[in-house]
Amino acid sequence: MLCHTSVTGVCIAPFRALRLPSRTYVGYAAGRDARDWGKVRTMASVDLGNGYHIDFDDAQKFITALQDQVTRLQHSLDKVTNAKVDPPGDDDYSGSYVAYGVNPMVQQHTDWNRKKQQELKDLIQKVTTAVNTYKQTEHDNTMKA
Amino acid sequence: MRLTSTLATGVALATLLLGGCSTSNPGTADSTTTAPARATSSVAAVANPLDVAKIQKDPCGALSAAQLAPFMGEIRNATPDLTNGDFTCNWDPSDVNKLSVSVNVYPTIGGPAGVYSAKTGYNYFEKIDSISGYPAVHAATGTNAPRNGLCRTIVAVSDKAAFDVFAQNSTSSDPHYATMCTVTDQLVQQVITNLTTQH
Repeated sequence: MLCHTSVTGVCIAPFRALRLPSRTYVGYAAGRDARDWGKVRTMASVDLGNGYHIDFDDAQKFITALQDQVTRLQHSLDKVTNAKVDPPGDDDYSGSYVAYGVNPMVQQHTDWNRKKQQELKDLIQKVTTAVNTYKQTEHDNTMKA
Repeated sequence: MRLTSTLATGVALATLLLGGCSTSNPGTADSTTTAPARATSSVAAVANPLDVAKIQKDPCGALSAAQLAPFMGEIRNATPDLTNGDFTCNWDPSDVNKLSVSVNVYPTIGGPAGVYSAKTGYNYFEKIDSISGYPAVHAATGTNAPRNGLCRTIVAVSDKAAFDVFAQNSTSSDPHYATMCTVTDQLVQQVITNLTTQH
């Protein structure tokens, strides 16, 4: 499985993500020879960077998967930082454990979590913009024809 | 002797509570926000206690979509989480660039004293003026909290129970990004109103 983004150990695999030399490819489905590229019809794809592309047809599924991942991170952040985080015991050591152990860890998690959220949001924005541009171009071409 | 011991324990407890109400925010002066007299009143019985049983059972009933809309627009999901002793609802916006909101109910946290003792879990913790007459705090974690898009307002609504509203957004262009605690304060007020009027 190709793993474009990994957050909290969960791998987000872009739907039908392929490492391809070209931005356009056609019918690269199972059983179809690579020599058929470009012969059936040209299907545009979104360039996700790092050599990954997805079909425009799959872009909305990909956006939804990214949104779900942002949501998971947000829920996780609430869970980790809610007031139910208790020291393991009532003794002094447990108090210190929270003050000097858990707290910095929670801070680090918070910063990491929010950075990941923003990365995913940026990717959502990138894919959304590409899809909208593609749709507009398709629309313009249809009008010209 | 026994009385002396009890008094000593009381003083120690009051000292502990005083220590539990300071702001510790990196980059800003550490200011103790409570005076001795106020600390004594901070653990006083909560007047007009509210029953949280309803939102404990149905946390997503704590706020309506209309009450959340001014802050997060259209809601994509309202997801309850009643696992592992949590009584939580998470509201997610349709537009990921808008803020998300969670409500957590703590039925046995121990009222105001329990809320103040949660200080150790946060790098920003500040006692604030009461909300609708109920003792409340702001709590947050992370760099430059709470001016970087996240805040939690925790409010004790009885001598046993509390709840909080947590709002977060990593998108700095959100108009509430630097003032997220005003959002959580307003939503806490809404929850209290809902709890009061649902009786």
